[in-house]
Amino acid sequence: MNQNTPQPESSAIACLAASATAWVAVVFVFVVCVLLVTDYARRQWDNPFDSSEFIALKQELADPSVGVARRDAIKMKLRVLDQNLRREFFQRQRLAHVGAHLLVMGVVVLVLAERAAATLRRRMPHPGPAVSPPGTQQRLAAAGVSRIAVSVAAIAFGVIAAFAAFGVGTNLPLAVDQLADQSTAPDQQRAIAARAGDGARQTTGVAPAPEPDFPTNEEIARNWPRFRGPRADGIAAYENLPTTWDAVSGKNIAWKTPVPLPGNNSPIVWGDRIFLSGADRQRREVYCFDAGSGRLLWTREVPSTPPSRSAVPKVEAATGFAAPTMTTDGRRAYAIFANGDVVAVDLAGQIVWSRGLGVPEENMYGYAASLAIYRDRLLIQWDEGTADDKLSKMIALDAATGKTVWQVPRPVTGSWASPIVVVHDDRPALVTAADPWVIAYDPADGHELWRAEGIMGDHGVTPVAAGGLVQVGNEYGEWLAIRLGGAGNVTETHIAWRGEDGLPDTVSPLASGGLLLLTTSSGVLTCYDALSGEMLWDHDFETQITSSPTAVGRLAYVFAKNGKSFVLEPSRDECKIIAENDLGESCVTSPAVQNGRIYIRTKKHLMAIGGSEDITKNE
Amino acid sequence: MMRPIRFVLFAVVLLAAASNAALAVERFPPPEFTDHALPTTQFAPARPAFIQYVDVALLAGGLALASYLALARRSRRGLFVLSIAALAWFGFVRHGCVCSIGAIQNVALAAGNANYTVPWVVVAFFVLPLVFTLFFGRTFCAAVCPLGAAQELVAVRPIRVPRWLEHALGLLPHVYLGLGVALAAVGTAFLICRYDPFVGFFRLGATSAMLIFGGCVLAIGVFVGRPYCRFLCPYGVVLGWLSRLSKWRVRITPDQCIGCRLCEDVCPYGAIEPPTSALSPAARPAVRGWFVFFLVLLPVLIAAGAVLGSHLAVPLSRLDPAVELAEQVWAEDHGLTHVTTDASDAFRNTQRPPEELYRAAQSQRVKLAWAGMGFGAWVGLVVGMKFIMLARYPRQTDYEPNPAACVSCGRCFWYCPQDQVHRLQTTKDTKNTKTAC
Repeated sequence: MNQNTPQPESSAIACLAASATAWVAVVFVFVVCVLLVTDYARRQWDNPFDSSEFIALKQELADPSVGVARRDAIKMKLRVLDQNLRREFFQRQRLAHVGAHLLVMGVVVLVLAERAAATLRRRMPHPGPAVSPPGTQQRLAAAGVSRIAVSVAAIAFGVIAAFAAFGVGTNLPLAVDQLADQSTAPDQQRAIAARAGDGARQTTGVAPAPEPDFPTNEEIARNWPRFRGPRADGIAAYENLPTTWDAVSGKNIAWKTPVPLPGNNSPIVWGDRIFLSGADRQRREVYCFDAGSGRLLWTREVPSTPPSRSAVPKVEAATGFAAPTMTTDGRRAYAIFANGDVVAVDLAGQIVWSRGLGVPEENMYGYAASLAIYRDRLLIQWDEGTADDKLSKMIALDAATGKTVWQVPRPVTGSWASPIVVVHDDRPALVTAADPWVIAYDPADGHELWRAEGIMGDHGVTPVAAGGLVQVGNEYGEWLAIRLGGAGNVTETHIAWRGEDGLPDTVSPLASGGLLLLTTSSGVLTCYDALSGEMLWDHDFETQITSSPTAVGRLAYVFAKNGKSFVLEPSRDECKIIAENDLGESCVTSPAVQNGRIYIRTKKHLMAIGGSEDITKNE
Repeated sequence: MMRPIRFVLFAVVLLAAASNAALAVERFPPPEFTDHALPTTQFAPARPAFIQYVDVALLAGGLALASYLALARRSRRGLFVLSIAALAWFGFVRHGCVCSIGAIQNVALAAGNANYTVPWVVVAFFVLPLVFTLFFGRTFCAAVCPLGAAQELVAVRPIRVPRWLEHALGLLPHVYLGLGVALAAVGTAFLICRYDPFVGFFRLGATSAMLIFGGCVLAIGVFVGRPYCRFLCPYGVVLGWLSRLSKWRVRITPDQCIGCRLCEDVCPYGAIEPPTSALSPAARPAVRGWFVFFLVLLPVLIAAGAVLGSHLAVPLSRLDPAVELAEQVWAEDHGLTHVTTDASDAFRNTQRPPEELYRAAQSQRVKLAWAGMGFGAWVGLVVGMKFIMLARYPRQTDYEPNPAACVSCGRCFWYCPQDQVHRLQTTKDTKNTKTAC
């Protein structure tokens, strides 16, 4: 068979038919293409919102002098017009889709018909006279041409890459230190702050920064604004407190009020208001009680934020959904829940802002770190996962707006301890602890001041500072007394002493009167010399304790899990028990102390100890 | 000179490519009234889990059938029908995803990110064609890959590409492979999926640019056989390597080549290598010299590529959405632009500090610098190896398909007289057997 071999008649007819089909398909595809391109161009150029009627109505609506009735009429007209435009638009789009399907079908028919015709037209090739394989010189010459072509291609790649490498610019600094330099330029900072403040684009002019609004040190000292009091050390400013009470008989109990939702957070007090939070799987609430009467003044339900709406965090029953203690600056009260939602409510119970930080899903017991506040910064220790997960961070929010002021990553595992702010030599330091580091940050901008290594395992003990030492540790590692004032890694230079005996697992320490009291959850109280680390004595209460102790003058108040409460007078020589009292129900929280009163949250109640011989029940 | 039908075909296909824009996804803006309640976002239901088992089973079955048809039955028609079925299922029904070509990036990402786990179905799509190729050559390309099938369909008027141009353009898929792997490994982008020319057709909707690109590839494919497979497909590079090692693979003749030369021009993909003469003794020193020269040049090219590639962090980072967002936010915060984007507006709404974004972008750029260095070294290696291959002087006595370039399409079977004889003999034997029964 060769090119001159005539085709069989049937084959020729089939070939003709296939070619004719291909030509019909060509015409069909051509027509559909033209229609589609025309329609597409029309849709591109005919923006329905550019119609003169639409624009005129919108302009009229924007005119402030137009009356309400007319405005409503315009809106109605716009709605009708809008609906018509949409209907027309989508009708055209449907037509385009039909056309697209027709086009695909036409192309398929065209290709198949053309293929069939090509197959039917197929002829055997007719090679020329036999030639010997190309000789060496021919092959080398061909290889040479190919080498040149490859060289040209390689040079083209190189040139393109060089243009890309050295021609594509970037505004973003390439090095981290440049980033720090440029991002803190004052005028840029003001522009950023101004933009963050109103959440809108602002390119000209700088809004004046609002005056910071935060309480004075005197105000803070008069109140109990956070977990463990004004300095987060469990030391009360008042000494006029009762030493005996009995919630069963009502002796020295001023009032006792039920708390609607459960929570393991402790009360905070500002003026005559006490704040608590409570939560279960579905609801989160903030409560405000009247300190005088115990009356529940208001309840504010906190709605879920978008990040937390999709998932309920897994928490241990012992932790619950509202373990972190609130904080307040007297302007607003702040709460954080196990789902990562943070809320600020004003003293009347209205939500000022709320935001979700994301559900802390890698926190195995449930989020429990209490909030801290320093000046106008709300401080959140957000530790979860392992250090390698890089999920842990320290966050500072603007207390007035909830916007992030700074956020720094933390090289630590998940923890359940709370941050504290320590002022040493007039310099504030935000001290945090989690496996493996105790890290201090500057609360102004989050830059690290110092760090010390030595924390191990699950850490839930909130540090305290006294006598120039930060006291912190847990039973999985050792106790560290770290001298303040260091910089960088102070592990080798600023550890004043280390302790090994009677270390706590969850209860925070009490450092008062030169003594350091450590409490295990099994109920063993161990006393150290706070400055030298000499262990002085221990005492076994023979009952479980999870509440952190509080110092009132020379006395220490300890609340056991079963409701028993002890008043001690610790000294270097002994643990003298002054009184043993009963709350009548389980207690795992720490007390808040105000003038003449101790406020303590039990399993179901908030109660006030002292100030009245007669119990006031607010059932 | 091009015949009239070619002009018409070319014009129609180009017009079709342009009209693809009509399919492009368009969004209608939501009503502007502030009291309009936007409807809750509806999500498409997840694909049923059993579909992925069906996909993998069909892939394995398709590969087995394609290998059988190509090597045992030598049936071009069977392969063609199978390729249409593959185009229908893996292309239009399954919308071109998951595909073996894109799976390279999932594997690369898993290699670069310990926290990423490749779905088993993606692993199956990546590995199965490789295993079959190792035994039977590129039968995946012949009839199972929907991208290959689409190009095979439209290749009605193929012309031969000059060998020198084929060598030069043959660098492209290697470069594309290196770039795709580098960007996927650091989590910047799945470039190969982003520029898949056919996925827009399979889904009957994509951006205008994607559809026009795909239309142009198809339009070129009418005259240049399988342009994507030969000059872009990164998976084809890997399949080519393995095909060289394959135990069995497609041959032009089922018997002894008689040197009739009927097949020498029939492969539209330029895969048939002619017999070669022996190297003359006089030319040996020159050939050896070139070989040694390119051997020495290889490390130089790799080093040069690595150095140049390490400077590609900034341009490569333009493909990274996080870096692009950081650039935009930085420009907005420093008064370099007065226009915000949807992404930057969304970022502002998260209330995250920009510094966090900047640091993440810088960290990504460091990774991209390393990835760029690897990419540059790879391109240097590819160019160097190409020179070395061109400096070789292999001896061949028959017309044989180049194992790396042959896509096992079976077009050459029909032209081989030995194949026709073999078929006649087989038919006769079958008839005799039936008569005897």
